[in-house]
Amino acid sequence: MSNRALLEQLDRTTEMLSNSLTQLVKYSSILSEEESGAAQREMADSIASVSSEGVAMINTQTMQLIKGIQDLLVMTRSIREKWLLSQVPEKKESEQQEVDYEKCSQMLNSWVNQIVGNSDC
Amino acid sequence: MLTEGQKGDAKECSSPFKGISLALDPNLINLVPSGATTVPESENELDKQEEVEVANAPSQSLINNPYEMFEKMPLSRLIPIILRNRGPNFKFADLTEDALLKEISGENNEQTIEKDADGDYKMGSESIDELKGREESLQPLRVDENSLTDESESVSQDQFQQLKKNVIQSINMALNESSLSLEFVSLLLSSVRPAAATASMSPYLKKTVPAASLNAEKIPLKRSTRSEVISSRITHKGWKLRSLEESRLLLKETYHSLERSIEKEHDYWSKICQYISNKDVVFKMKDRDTGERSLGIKYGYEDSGSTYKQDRGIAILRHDSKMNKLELVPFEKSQSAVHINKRNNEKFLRVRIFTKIEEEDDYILTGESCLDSVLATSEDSTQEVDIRHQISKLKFFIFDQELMYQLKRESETLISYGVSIENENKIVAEFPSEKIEIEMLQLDDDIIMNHQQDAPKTNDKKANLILTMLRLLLVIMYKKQMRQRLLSPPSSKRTHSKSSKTRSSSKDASDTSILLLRPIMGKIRHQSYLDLLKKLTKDFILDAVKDSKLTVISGNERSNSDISNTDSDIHITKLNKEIGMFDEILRMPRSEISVDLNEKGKIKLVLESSNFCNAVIKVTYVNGTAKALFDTKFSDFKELEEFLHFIINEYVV
Repeated sequence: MSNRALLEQLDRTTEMLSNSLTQLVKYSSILSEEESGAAQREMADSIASVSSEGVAMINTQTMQLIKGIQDLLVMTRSIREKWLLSQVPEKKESEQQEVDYEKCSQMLNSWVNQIVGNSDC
Repeated sequence: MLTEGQKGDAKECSSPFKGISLALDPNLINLVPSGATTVPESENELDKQEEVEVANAPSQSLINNPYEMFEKMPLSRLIPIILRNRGPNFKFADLTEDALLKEISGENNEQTIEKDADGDYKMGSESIDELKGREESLQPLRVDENSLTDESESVSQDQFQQLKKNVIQSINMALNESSLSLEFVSLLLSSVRPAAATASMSPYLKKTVPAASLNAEKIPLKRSTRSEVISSRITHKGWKLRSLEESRLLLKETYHSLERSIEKEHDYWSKICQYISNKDVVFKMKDRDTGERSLGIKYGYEDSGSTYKQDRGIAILRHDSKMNKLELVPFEKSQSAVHINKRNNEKFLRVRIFTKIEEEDDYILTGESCLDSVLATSEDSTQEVDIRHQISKLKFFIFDQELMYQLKRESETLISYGVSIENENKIVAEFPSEKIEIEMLQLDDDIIMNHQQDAPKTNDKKANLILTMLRLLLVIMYKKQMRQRLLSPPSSKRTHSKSSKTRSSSKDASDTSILLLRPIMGKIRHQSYLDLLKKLTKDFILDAVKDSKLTVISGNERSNSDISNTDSDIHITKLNKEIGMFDEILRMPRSEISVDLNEKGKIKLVLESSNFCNAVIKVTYVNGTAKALFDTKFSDFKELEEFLHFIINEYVV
């Protein structure tokens, strides 16, 4: 996913989060009931509608909140993957050591001598 | 503009009703510059007062003009004021109606806005006349509408017909609706006043529905009592509370689970950050066991030039949340098999050297390669096993696996030289005085525990050296493969894989290029051949010819041809250099023995090999006069023996 797409997704998710949080807060306010008296009373007439609608609303908003947070987590995961697959920082000690060719050939020669010398006996 | 003019006219008409019939609109008075004033002699004290008032507000707007003041004024006072406003040389006799009308029409255009405001100001107390004026002002709008319809008439005939149709439809609908409502009301009335109702009823309704069959009754609106309102509010609130509580629980639950997963992720990534460097081959892959998204790491040597395909060397980086550590799980096609025997792949190579006991025709173990430090440490230790260690272990195992695989392939061709594959995991190379056993062993706890307890043996070092050299030679094979890949363009590679024929031929080439055991065996065998050759020359030449000298030149002149061609690619030059370093080992062994027979000439014996393991002896005899008499090759020592015998007897002695 490109940086731009990630940023766009971030925007979308935060928007969604704030929206559902606002909905929840609005719903939880008790004051609103007093203010819009008549309409509220009419609504209050049917307990069934209050219970089902309220619960459903709260539930969907809550699920949206959760989903948003999960989306954010998934995003961090993909950002991390992106980092790992593209730009892991160099480790300093991993610098290539120059091979000492002279020494190596000397060691190889001594290897030959060891093997051959031993087989003499 | 037209409407404004009409409005103004209407107002002018209204003014005579109010007071004195003045033809002059008093609003016009201050339009004339009021700076110069000519006061007639006849004015008295009151006039003076009036003058002061007017002078106080010389540019006073006419809107605020005290209408009544001027109207109620006697003419004897008003005329001087008019004269004063008109200018110095103005005579009242000159003031004609025509001139005034002209002035008014000229000023009206300028004063429309003011008059507008005037009209609005008076709106609160509109007289009937003014209303009339307003109605008049609406008229032009109607005119505009007419003009619009005139325009729409210019549309095409079809459109007109369409519009007509729509209008007729709408009228019909309205008619229908109204008659329906009439029927409804009539029916409703029929119970109370049958005579009146039936009169307005349609015959159809009368026929189908009996009279007084529709009734209406007033239903009293039941006002809910205060207690009911309160209780319903309480229930409302109760439900609110309950749903909020549920939401809270849900949020809390998910919060906890998410927090756990965040912690897990954090651990995972911090460990990856700690242990994974940019030298590791990391890629995304799906964990088949858990179904989670995961990361794979490649520990196989494919990218380093390995052609081993039995095990791709891929592992999944899995996070063990219980142990809080990162775990590498080798990725295999048969996952279940791995689970049954997790250490299935944990095999390592061991080299053992057995020395022959001459008299008993039996071997005793004289050397054994020791366990690699990677395996020896921390296999069972409970301290944190970091991922790097796991990676290096897996690398070790896959490397030894490939080494064994390649050794077996190489050994298949070496049966005639004493190399036999005893079983799947064991290769034995026999030499005259000893035998070397290369074995693939399962790594188990016993081996790890006991690896240091064995008493050191004489050939331990040699066994280790052989094992190390085998590994080094595999690395050289990798490097050669890499060089091949770099040198051959990718397009040719594609054609290779396409046609199976070329593929098999390249496979053959790779078969012959396996150089692991042969260079080592070659060295050992060559040494024993050389010993044998020396013994022969000693027996047949040195002992037979007096004053003869023997010189041995081991090895041979360096052929620098490989290194000298410098490539532009630094990687290839580097590889060339590194491969060239092993030329000493990988070259076919060659030794020269030259025997100086003084004035009788020279015998030169060159010991060579065509495939590391066999022996080819080139014999050259040059006599005293520097003439080459013999130049032959032998691969059998018996024949050589006879030949040497023949030369010495025939030419030297």
